Amino acid sequence: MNDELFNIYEYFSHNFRTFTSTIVAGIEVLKLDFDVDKKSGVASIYESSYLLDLYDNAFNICLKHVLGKNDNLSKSNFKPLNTVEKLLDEFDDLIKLKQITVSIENMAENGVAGYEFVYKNLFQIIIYEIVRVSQGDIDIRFWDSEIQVCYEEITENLPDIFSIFKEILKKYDMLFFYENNRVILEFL
Amino acid sequence: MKILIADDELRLRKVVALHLKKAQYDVTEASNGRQAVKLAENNEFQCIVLDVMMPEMDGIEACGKIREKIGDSVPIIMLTAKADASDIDAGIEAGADAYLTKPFSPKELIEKIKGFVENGKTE
Repeated sequence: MNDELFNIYEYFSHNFRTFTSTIVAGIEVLKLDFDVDKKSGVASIYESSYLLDLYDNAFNICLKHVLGKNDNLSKSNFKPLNTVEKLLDEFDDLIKLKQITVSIENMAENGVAGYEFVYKNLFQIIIYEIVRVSQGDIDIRFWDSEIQVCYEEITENLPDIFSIFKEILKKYDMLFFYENNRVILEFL
Repeated sequence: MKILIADDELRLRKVVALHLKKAQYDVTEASNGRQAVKLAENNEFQCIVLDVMMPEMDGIEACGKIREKIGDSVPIIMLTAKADASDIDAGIEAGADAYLTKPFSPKELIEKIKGFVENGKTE
C-alpha cells in the first residue's frame, strides 16, 4: 500500500470506528432509558450518522483521486451558505456542548458553479474538523469567490488528510489554503 | 469509586462518561494524554481509561508516564480505533492491562472496569 493510500485508510478507519462507537454508546443511553440524558443520546446518534455519510463520501472521493479513477462529474450550483447552515444545524448540540460560537458573517446567498458533490463533502469535513479541535469562536465568511473560516484557538493540528483534500480540490477548480487560525477556499 | 477517562472525542467521551456515572462511578474527564498524566498523579483513581490517539500526548505515551509516576497498582484500559495488533502490543508494553477496540459497547467497558475493581489486576 502506498503512503497516501495508507494515510487515507488510517484517517477514515479511525473516524468510522469512532463514530460507530458513539452511535453504539448513544443507542445504549436510549436502551437503558436514562430519562434526563435521552437528548444527549439522540444527538450523538444523529451527529455520528451524519458524519458517517459525509466521511464515506469523502473516502470515496479520496480513493478515486489516489487510484486515478475519473468521476466524470458535471458542474452544478454549489451554495456555500446552504451547506454551512445545514452543517451548523446538524451540529448545534455539539457546538453548545463545546461552548463555542460559530458565526456566519458576510455570507453571500448566491451559488457558485462547480463540483458540488466534492465541494459539499470536503468542505463540511473541513468545518467539522475545525469545530472538533476548536476551543474558541469560529467565523465563516463567503464573498465573491472565496470562503474563509477563521478560528481562535485549536487544541491540535488540523489533520494531515487536508493535504490530500488540497490536491483533490485543486483538481476540481478550488484552491484550499490552511494556516494559523484561518482556512481559505477559493473558487477558480 | 473514581475513574479517569481520557479521550479527545468530546461526544464519545461524554456519552461514555454518562454510562460510567449511571454505573455509580465518580468520573473525571481528560481530553489529552498530558492532562490524563497530571490528573493521575494528583488523584487516586481506581481505574484509568485511555484512548490511544490523542493530541499533545497519545495514550501509549501517557500510559508509560502514568506507570512511571504512580506505579502499576491502578489498572489501565486502552481504547483504540485501530484494530492493528502492533498498537495493542505497544499499549501492553507501556503498561496497559486491557484493550478495547472501537467500536466498543459501554457495557463491555463497565464490565472490564468492574472486573478490575472487584478482582484486582488479576482480571
